[in-house]
Amino acid sequence: MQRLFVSAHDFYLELYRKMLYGVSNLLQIEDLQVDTTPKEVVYQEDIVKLYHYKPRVPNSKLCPIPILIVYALVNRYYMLDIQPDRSIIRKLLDLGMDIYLIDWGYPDKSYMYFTMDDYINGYLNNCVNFIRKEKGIDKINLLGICQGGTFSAIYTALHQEKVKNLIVMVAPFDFDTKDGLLNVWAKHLPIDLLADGFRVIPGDYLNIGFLLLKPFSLMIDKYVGFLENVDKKETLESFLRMEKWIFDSPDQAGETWRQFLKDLYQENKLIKGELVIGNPVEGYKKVDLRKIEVPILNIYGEYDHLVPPVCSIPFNDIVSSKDKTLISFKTGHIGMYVSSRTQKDLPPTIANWVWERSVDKPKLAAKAAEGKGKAKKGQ
Amino acid sequence: MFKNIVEFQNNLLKFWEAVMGAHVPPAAKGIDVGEYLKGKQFRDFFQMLEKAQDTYKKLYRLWLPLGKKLYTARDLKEFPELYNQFLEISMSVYRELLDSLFGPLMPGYFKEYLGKIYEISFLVPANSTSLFAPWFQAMVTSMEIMPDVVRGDSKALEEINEVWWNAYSNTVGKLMRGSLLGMFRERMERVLKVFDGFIQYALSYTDFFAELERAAATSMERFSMKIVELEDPDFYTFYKTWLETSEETFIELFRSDKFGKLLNSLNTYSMKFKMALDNFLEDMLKELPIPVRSEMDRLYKTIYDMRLEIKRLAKAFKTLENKISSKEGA
Repeated sequence: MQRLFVSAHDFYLELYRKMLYGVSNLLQIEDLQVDTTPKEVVYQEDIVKLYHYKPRVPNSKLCPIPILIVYALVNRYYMLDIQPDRSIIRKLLDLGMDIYLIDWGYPDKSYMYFTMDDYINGYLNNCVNFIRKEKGIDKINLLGICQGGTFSAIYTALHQEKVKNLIVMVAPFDFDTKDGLLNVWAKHLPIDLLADGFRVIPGDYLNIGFLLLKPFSLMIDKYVGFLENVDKKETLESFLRMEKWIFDSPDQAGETWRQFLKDLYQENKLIKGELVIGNPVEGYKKVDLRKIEVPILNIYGEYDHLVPPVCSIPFNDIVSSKDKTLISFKTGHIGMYVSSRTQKDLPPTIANWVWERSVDKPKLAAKAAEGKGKAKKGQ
Repeated sequence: MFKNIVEFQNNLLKFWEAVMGAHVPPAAKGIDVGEYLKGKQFRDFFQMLEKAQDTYKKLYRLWLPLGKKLYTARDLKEFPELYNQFLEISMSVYRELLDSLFGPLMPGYFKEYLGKIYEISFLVPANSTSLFAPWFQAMVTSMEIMPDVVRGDSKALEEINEVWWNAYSNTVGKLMRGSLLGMFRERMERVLKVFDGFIQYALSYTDFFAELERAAATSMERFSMKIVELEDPDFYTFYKTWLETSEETFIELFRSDKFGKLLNSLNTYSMKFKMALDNFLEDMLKELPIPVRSEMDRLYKTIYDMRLEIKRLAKAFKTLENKISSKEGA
């Protein structure tokens, strides 16, 4: 017992010392820069913006088929570009990817009636059409992340003629599981009442749910860890960037949220082939994932607590694609974007897979030879 | 002292007479307050008060044992009979009070009117059983459970919650949810819905947090057992063990169906309360020169529908354009 008190005393003294350094560090931080990779808005519709990232390789080394990144409606896309030395986007650009990204914006109450159809057949389709037109190509690559992965798969099932390759990352497809607390809770939530009452679901409401997934780790231990590292300026900055991202949660259009939760989380219609997307003017279409024939790369985190592996893996079983790849990383949902391991391995995995399927084989062989030459020079 | 007061009163009356002049009624002229207090009228008044005091004593002698019986009644079936006895005693004493104390001071028709009001208010039999019985019952049960609540038993707290909820729900709650009459009916209904919504929300909130409290207690028990097994832990091990045990216990709870039901209940009632409050606030604000929620919702819906219409027209326009260009090409 004596050891406990002595070590507690030491712990608090050390924490106190660190906090003093931390205050000094906090005073030095002027602007927490996130989302720094250069980009421009090339298309805008309402609050939705389509960004094009400035390529970081000469045109001759640029992948001819661009990638459109479709992020989730929950939280913000800049997790992929959280800081210059920890940026999936920057690394993909370095590997010759031509990247477009949809920023869904912050919906206000005027978006309460917007449905999944408005997002998928509306905004997403318009962005895809814009890129096709601008690049003069028929098909583009889609990289859907988390809920954006689900949307991308739905889009591909409905508009296959516009998609060359589909990459889905930490994306849920089979919602009927008890592995994830979100899946368990969603079954009990009074979705209609919440959608009618809120009309636009507050981001903070969703955040409470996310924090409860690991209540003690996320509400206590994380901040103890913060205090333990507060004297290290770089670690402190990284922590604050993550903190900014975590609580930068846009509200959710009520009707979209209603449909996503009821049709997918509660009734698991997507995997059953019963999901219907559409509107009264243009009509309704059934989403059949089995119709997807484009090459698929499905990436999931083995320790993902938000989208457990069992939600992601079945996608590869249900699609009709002959070329399908399933890759896992030993990380969680957030770790997929920021952990050192995935920062090193994930971008090349995606880029190589895309390169192989976006150019003719002779060109690819030439590119590989060039790469080897470079490596030799580097030696 | 008393002499001074009487003198002061006499002077006051004289001043009043001087001011009022010819308007003072003859009977009121030249009254001596000292003589009046020695008179029969004043003595009678004090006797009446004394008699009333006896009546009250009698009333309490009868009331107390009956009240105790009512208070401790375990079976709701006993309640109507006990309550009727209670009312009968109250009525007889009330009549006695009316006759002896207030009766001589008020006109006969008014006395009769007061008597009828009392009878009507208290002798509607439905009131006795359906309006008051559940509250007595809730009080009795609560008194029995309270020691467990004080000891920190969250199940007992839940039980109290349920008992009071049932009492509320079966009495006032029913009235709150029933429809009213008159010009302000709708506004009053909105107010009552807010109140009713809040009560339901507060109860579901208590149930929800009682379950969390129970999980916290379980996790502390588990932690205590683990810490005994750890030989002389340092602070870091101590903290990590606490953190992991707590997280495991809470996640175990979060996975359970019981938690799912509580989550549903909390979300349902908080939303119902929010919606009732929104409606009430909107009602309060609608006279101000600002757009209110439902007006904005209608506007959003119109804009949304117009977007769809534009889509339809754009599609039709495109088809037409294609037809024309293909004809021109031919």
